[in-house]
Parts: sequence; structure tokens; C-alpha cells
Amino acid sequence: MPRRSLDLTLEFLARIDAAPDELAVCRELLTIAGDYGFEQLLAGSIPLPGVPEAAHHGHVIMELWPPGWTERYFNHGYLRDDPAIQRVVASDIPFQWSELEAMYRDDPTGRRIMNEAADFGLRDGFTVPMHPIEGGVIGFSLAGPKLELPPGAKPMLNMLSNFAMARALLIQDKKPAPRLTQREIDILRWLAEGKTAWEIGRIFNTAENTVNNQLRLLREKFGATRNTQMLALAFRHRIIT
Amino acid sequence: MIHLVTSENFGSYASVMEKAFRLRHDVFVEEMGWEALRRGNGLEIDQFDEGQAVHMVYLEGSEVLGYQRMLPTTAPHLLSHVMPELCEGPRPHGDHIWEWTRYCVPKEHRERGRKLSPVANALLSGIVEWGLDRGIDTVIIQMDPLWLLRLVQLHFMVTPLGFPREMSGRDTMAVTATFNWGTLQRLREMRGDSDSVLAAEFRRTG
Repeated sequence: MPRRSLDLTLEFLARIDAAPDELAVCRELLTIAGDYGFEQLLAGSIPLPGVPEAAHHGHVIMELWPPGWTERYFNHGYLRDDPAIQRVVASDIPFQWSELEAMYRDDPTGRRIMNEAADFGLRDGFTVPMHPIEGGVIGFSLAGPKLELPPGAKPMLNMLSNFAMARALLIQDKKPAPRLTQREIDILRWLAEGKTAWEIGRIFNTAENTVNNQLRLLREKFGATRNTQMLALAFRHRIIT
Repeated sequence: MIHLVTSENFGSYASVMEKAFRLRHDVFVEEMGWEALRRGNGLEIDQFDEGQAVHMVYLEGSEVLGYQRMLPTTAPHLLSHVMPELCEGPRPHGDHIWEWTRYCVPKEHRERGRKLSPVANALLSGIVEWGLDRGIDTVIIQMDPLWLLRLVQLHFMVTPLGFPREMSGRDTMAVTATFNWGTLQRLREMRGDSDSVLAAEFRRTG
């Protein structure tokens, strides 16, 4: 590859070092990966066995993914049956989704998940398994409707994805953990269990509106726009486990 | 504790080094399949092991729990003479830059649950302590990009020297990783103690 491309890589590293948040890192990576047909990015740690499905979405670290698909995926608890996730856990070698066809050909659930993803524009993808120092496994996926991957593209995307994740984790580590009351921590725990505001209200004997207000204040404390993003941060700060 | 073996004290570490060369053969030839390094006697030794190489051996009693080799970039080393294609720009070299090669840990002492193992942490701490003592702040590494994330998380400043290439089924790339006291502090935090990992006779400062 020409020297010019290495310069582009170094410029990319300088830009993600200056990126203010995880979303900006996603965008920088997709600017480069876009040349190969990638349009979406999702990365998160794989929940340990026994973690309830309702808490799966909270494990997401970087997300620029079709919202409709994310919602469907986590509401249906697809994670454990997702062939790409199974492969991330089984091997640390990056893979293109099209390589997995043999794996799910005879598995109706796996096939359905891959077909539904395609309906959301995620026809093919490239996933990099990662191993952070804290332990566990991270799956880092880039996807798009049609990929064109010349020789050398996958190793390069593997490298850039690792740098992008490293930057995203450093950004998260630098955000101080918010101070929470015991009640707020309890609300987060129930939210992670998949309870709705109404159900949490029943547990604490308060109105749904009160819980919604408490959730809004909690999101402000975390600097999160959505509950799922707030849960991801709460997991990272070990406020809930 | 980590012991530093050079041409000066090699004689008194002969049996330890035989174990280290055997560990290298077990890991790089038998496990990873680098057939070009296969030797009939089961000892993996190459042209860089003599001369100015610094062998870092993690010893517990007489057992070798880990090994890595440092080569000066002012003399022939892997990036200059074996895998120059991994470096696409000017090749970094100088007294303060050494090359880190042949990192290996016996299977039974590796990551459980993929968390950075105590031996891996000690070997990395060994490089940083040794380097800070001697005015060395950068290592060249040929590695799987899988290590990028961990090195950055450990506060190494990592710069690619070229693009990864597929070599026997795995991506391999060359980087420089620069470290400072912050890196050592981070490693010690992860390990949960602030003692030196180098055996006393190899420490230069407190």
C-alpha cells in the first residue's frame, strides 16, 4: 500500500485522539470504512452467561446502527443466537459475515437473524473480536448493504477498529462516575432487569410519572440521551453489575 | 521475578536459558507453527540471541514462567533484517528504541477468562522498569493488531509503522510503543502492587 495511506492512518489517529465522544470516533472510522461500503457500526462487550436479556443492550459501547434493528434485536433477545456473536466468543480471528453462512445454514434462528439484519441494510459485515485488559470479549462490527473489500482492506480495518475501540474506552474511563442516591441505584438495577417505568413505580409504590422524572434526572447525571446508553455507562462504572 | 540475561552473565544462567529456548520452541514452533524455526533439539535459537540481546526471564524458583527478548535497534534486528516489509516509512532506530521479540508464556500461566494475566503484566512491567532505568522509552513490536487495544489501555502511546499483513492465517503489523512513568503506574495499578518486578540485582534505581 502506498505511503500516502499510512499518512491517512496517522491523521485518523490524530483525529480520534481529539474526538470528544464515542459517536465522533464512530463517525471518523466510518468515513474511512465508507470507501469499502460500510455504513454502520456497533461494538459492545459480550454479556457473561447468566446476564438477563434485558441487560444486553447496556453492554453496547459504540453505536451507529439502524435504531429499528437495535430495538428489535435486543427486545427479541437475539444476542445469544446471533451467529456473529457465537463466532466472536469462539475465536479471536476477525471475520466477514458472509464467511459464516455454513455455520447457520442449518440453524433456522441464526438464519432468521442474519436475514432480518439484511432487511435493515446490514447485508454483510466485518467483525473484529477484541480482548480488553479488564477481561471479557468485545465484538466490534462494521456493516453495510454492499461491501467491496480489496486485498489488505480487512487487516487495515482490523487495525483501525482496535484503535477506535481503545479511544472509546479511554473516553469512557475519563468520565467521572456520577454520585447517585441509593434509590437511584435501585432504579438502575430494576431498569437493567428490563422493568418499565410503570413496573418500577409499582415496586417503589410511586407513580409512573415520578419514575420517569427520576430517570430523566439520572440520564442528565450520566450525560446520556437514552436509557440504554445510561445503563452501558452504569455497567462500565460498576454502579450495577 | 524477572532476570536479565546478557552475554555477560549467560554462563551462570545456562540451564535457565535452555528452558527459555525450549519454551520458545514449544510456543512458536509447536503451537504457532513457525516451521522455519524448528530445530531437532527442541531449542529455538536464532542469529540475534548472541551479541547485545537482553533476555528477560520470569523465574519462579527454577521454573520459567515467561520470556521475552530485547534487541537494540542500533544493530541488526527483526524489523531491519527479517520483516522489513512491515515498516513502510523510515525505520525508527536509536539508543532509546529497542525491539521487543519472542514474548511467550507457558500455556498454564496464560490469561484465564482473557483478563491480562499476572505473568503478562509482569513481563510488560519488566520492559518499562528496565527501559526507564536506562533512558529507553520506545519499543518496536511485531504483533497481532489484537494487542493494540491492550497496549493503549495500558497507556502506551502506539504508532503503526505500516499496515497489517496476513502471515500464516493471522494479521501481523509493526508498531512503536512509547512509555513513561504513567505506563508503569497503570501496570502497577492493574497488578495491585507497586513493587519492582525485576530481581534486585538488575535494578538501577529505587
